Amino acid sequence: MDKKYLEAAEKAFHLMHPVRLKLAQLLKAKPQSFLQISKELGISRQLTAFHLSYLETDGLLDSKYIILKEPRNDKAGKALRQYSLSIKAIKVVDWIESQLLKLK
Amino acid sequence: MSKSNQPTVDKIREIKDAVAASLWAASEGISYKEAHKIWKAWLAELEVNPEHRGDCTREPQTCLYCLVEEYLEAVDQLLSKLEVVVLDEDQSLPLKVGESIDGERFLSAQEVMLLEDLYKEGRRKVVNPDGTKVEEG
Repeated sequence: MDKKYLEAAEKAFHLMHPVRLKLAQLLKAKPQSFLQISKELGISRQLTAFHLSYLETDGLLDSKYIILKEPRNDKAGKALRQYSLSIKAIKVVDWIESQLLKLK
Repeated sequence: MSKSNQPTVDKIREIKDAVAASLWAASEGISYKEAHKIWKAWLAELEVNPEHRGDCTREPQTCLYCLVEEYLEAVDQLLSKLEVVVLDEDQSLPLKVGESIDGERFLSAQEVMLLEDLYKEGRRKVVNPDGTKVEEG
């Protein structure tokens, strides 16, 4: 039992929280901005930031800045941070989903 | 196992039990808090009597011992998968000028800073693809 295993256990604990698991499943389906996540999960921005920070610290998220391009929209040209699951995290969430079906 | 490792082993055991309870809650669609409470009670019961129950057919549906074992096995597998999520990977933002995914152009860190400065100034401006400022209005 080493430190790495303890870290993996802590990551599993963080990921298996119901809100964070939903968040991970949401980001697995499609990259989302902070506000989109908050809206989709129906939770406050503060809570969204709280749960995102766990997944981000655990190395399960990727994020990128994009420029909004919608024409005739005064938000065009704004930079937006978009979150997605890392490739490794996608595999983990896929596995969790298959296990949940199997264990049911 | 050395004595110095004991706190880590205990902590891992505790976390694994909590993850198993969370997995059980998610698979059964029951309340997270309630599941943790029930799981703890089951563990206490199994500690007193760590044996298969009643008409056990070595399936989790028929025996508490088998059910707990099955979930703990799943947790072991989950942990082995998470062990490969290496933390020391480069997790910096992959900001490359001109990189395109789904038709969106990503910004360089320099461009992002420039944009932030521009918005702070409160004037409507855009940035050319080459990073130079363009003022409008």
